[in-house]
Amino acid sequence: MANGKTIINDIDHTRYDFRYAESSEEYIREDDGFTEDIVKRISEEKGDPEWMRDFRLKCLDLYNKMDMPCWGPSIEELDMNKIASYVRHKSDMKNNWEDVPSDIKETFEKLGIPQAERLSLAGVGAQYDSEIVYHNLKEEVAKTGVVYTDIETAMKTGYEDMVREHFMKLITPADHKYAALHGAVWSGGSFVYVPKGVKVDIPLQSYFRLNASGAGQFEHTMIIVDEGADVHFIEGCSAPKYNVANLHAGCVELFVRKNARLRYSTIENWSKNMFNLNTKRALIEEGGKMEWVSGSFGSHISYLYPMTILKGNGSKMTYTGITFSGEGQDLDTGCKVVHSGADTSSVITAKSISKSGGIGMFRSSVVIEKKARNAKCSVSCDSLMLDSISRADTVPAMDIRAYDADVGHEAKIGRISDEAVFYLMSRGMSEEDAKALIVSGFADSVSKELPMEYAVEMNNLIKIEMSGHKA
Amino acid sequence: MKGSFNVNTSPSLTFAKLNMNGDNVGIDTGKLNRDNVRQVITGGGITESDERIVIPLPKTDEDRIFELAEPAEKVMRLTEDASIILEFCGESAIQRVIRVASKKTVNVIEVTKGCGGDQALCSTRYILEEGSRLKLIRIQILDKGTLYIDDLKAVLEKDSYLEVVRIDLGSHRSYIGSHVLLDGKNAEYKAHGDYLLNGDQRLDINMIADHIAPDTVSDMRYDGVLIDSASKLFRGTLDFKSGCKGAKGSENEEVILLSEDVINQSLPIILCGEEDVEGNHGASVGKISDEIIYYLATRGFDEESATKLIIRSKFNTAVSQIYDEKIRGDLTRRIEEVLK
Amino acid sequence: MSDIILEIKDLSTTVGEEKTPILRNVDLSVARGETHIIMGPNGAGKSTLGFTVMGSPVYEVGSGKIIFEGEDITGLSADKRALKGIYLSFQNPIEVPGISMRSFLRSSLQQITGERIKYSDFNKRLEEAMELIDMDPSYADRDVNVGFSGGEKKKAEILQLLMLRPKLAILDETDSGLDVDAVRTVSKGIRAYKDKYNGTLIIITHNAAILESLSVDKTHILVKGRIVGSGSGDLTDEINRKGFEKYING
Repeated sequence: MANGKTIINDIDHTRYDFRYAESSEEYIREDDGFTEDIVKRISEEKGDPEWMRDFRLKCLDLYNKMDMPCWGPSIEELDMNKIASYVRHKSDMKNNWEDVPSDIKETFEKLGIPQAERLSLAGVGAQYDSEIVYHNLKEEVAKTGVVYTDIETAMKTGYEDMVREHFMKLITPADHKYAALHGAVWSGGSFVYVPKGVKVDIPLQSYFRLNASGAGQFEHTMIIVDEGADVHFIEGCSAPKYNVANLHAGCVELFVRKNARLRYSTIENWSKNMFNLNTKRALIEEGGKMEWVSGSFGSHISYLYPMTILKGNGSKMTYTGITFSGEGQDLDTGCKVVHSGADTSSVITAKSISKSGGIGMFRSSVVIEKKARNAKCSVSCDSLMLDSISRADTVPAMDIRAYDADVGHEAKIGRISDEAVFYLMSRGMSEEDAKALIVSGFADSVSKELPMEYAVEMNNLIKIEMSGHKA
Repeated sequence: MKGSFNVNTSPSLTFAKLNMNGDNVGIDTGKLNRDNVRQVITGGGITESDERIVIPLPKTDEDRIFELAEPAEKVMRLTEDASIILEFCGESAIQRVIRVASKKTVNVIEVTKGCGGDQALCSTRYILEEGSRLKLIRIQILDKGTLYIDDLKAVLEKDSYLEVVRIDLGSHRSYIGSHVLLDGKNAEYKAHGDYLLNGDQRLDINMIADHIAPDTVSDMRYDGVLIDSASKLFRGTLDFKSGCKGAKGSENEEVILLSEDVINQSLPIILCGEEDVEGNHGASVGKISDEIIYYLATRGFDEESATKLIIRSKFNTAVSQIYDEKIRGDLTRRIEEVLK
Repeated sequence: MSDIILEIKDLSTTVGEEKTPILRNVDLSVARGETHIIMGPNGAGKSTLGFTVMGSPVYEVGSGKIIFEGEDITGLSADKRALKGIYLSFQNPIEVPGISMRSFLRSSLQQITGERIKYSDFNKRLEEAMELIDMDPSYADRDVNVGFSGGEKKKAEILQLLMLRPKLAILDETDSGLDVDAVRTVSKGIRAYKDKYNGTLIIITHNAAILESLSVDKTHILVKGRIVGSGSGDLTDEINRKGFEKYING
């Protein structure tokens, strides 16, 4: 395929799909299913403080009592008795790539993580199955007092109180069934604390790789950006494809203090056997700003709606997201915002592309509470249908209880214009390339929010999806 | 037999916690009586028949209510303009089927009013035969203590056109449901609703347009004003079924909030299973823009009179379409009462 | 002239499911290096002719043939025709977000020539072309046509013409909506294409201003999908003075 090479870089189709077998000598793997014994063993394995152990058991109880969500795609085919809650390599977390076990190291090298760290990141965390295997923060960033580690380490290195104060306080276990499950079996993830006034110029990145077949990943991410501080956190995820279901039920809790700013970018490319039931939530205080950038490409079924609570007066949020649903995918994505403080504002820009029988659902909710005087919100949602065997649905909800709110909403569904395809073809481009170019253009509002390398990555993903090759 | 029914359910659900997917109402179906409804029809060139009309839609709780309340009415086939007065007195329910004859253009004006009674239920199925055109103006001025359920279903055959203009001013709680099937090629549906709610009135809307055939067009619009502690929930669904090539649909909403205690909820849904369509939704919610208020101030209007002027002008378009002078006067009087 | 580059034989086209006829039995023969003008009232099918030669899927060829450099291209898709050296400048150029003019042109050029072109050579060529048609260099790094004014879009089409240097260029109402100065700049670009690269032109227009500095070889009048008259370049002046009545009624 000589065409289009200059527009979009070459793609290595095997980039995400390679895998290394996990031998039982080197890996610890919990039994399938979610029982009290398993939860106790995980807790012991991790050396939890007592409060955490009790918390896990309480969550498991809640999980068993709660109903499945009534809206959204069916997850009946997910057999929870066939999911291993915990898998880890026997070696511990390292601060040096050289010390990481070779199969794991090679995996991350193929994904380009160490290379990216050298080039453009302030800190990197890498999780393989249930545990973080590598963590490092540039020395000059560490000197400013920024903490970047996993939650387990944070609890053992003087941040236990901070973790306890915030852990699952924003996403409570009672929130929904899979939040409760997360509370019971969570493992790994990231803990980030950015002290007052510290601005981290280059991004931090965590990469999550679920390599084991029939396993779950339940990482917990907690980021606290203190007053006036500023940070960009990038989250990447992928997994090789298996014929059995994998489950991802992570939780992300973000605390943005007064006048602080947090940008949280995600490029999600789970394999197409993944049930991605992820929960993300941010609490923004006075004058704070939350920016979400989200690209969803992978998973068999996704439930993903990052939620922002604009608690403080003058707090702001933007959400820029794109979802690409291909064959065998039912991706239910969107976002939620609650305006509580006065003079708060939110801007939601969502794009969705559906192809080859894929189902893309944009689901959102905007709540403006009575006390949120002078709130502003705008929602715009654009869907692109690439054929008539796919679906693009839009279900945005608004609940406005402040009479001086200013809310605008726009949604559009359409297809690639024949005229645009002809225009590009008249300049020598093949039909396939012309369509791919138009689709990347459609996604441009999202990719331009990403750092260069990730924008290229996203374009590659679009290109893979458009050419019909299975990623 | 008092039962609880989940009415105005949305074809696609949102997050359960928002409580916007439908509403539970308690109805004593045993008490409902069709003799409590007076229907006066003038004009229409009506022929009646006993044919059974089955609209291919899954059964809703509304259907169950009407099944319990009473058997289906006769089918009326219209060939000329008609005016219909529906007067609900006491606990009452009525079920009707109206056909518009092929190739005919018919204007129907329907006024729904009350004379006491807590519950007024109306179910109407409209069949628009090939090439027919129906402009339906519906005015609802029920007493402010009434629970009102209006269930409209329509099937639009090839090249037919349905326009519904409705003004809702009365009742305490209203459930306005409509489900229109654009079943024939080139069928077109246009709906424009206006409401003005005050006190603790609640309006719950569930409008659905199914684009089934190719080149069908729909345009749904709901505008209104909320005052005091009035609340409104708008559910609107454009459903582009696979195969409706060339279909175009839009839904729009403009809501003006005038008091601190109002609640405004919206759930504008677009479902799409066809590539070759254009669908869009737009909504704007808020107070009257400062620019307009300022503009009117420069022409000598204070804020209050400017607000009234804008509300009046919003309703004027709808009201001016009513050729019956008495009804028009009645409406204007009611609008003025609210604005006092 | 014997070196015929484009030959249209008995071409009829329709549009839509209803097969509404647009072009009816059109014959046209253009020799290399010639400039032909197509004139005609609105709705005559002028743009359709351009679109059909470029291979637009909107118009269905009912009968007839399009022969380019001796080869029947009637069934080829637009990209294949572009590769053969046909160019169509659009009346309403499409906005293409997500790709800069610079990388679009370079990619397009490499596509058509099948050769890699060095960045430095390409950039130089682009700079020269932009200067010639008085286009602000900043446009090179803006997304293709996105947010361009009507006039800038037209200029960008001429810029592409100068960069791609096709064998045959069809210009569809390139002058419409332009002010006098812009028309002059655009004509300068067209003349450069013709003079420097021995370009062959089919210009669809109803404005003589764009033609002032070009020598026209033939003018064709298209009415209701048929060529109702052809003549030398002088015919253009006559039409500009007297209009199409004679042909419409005749």
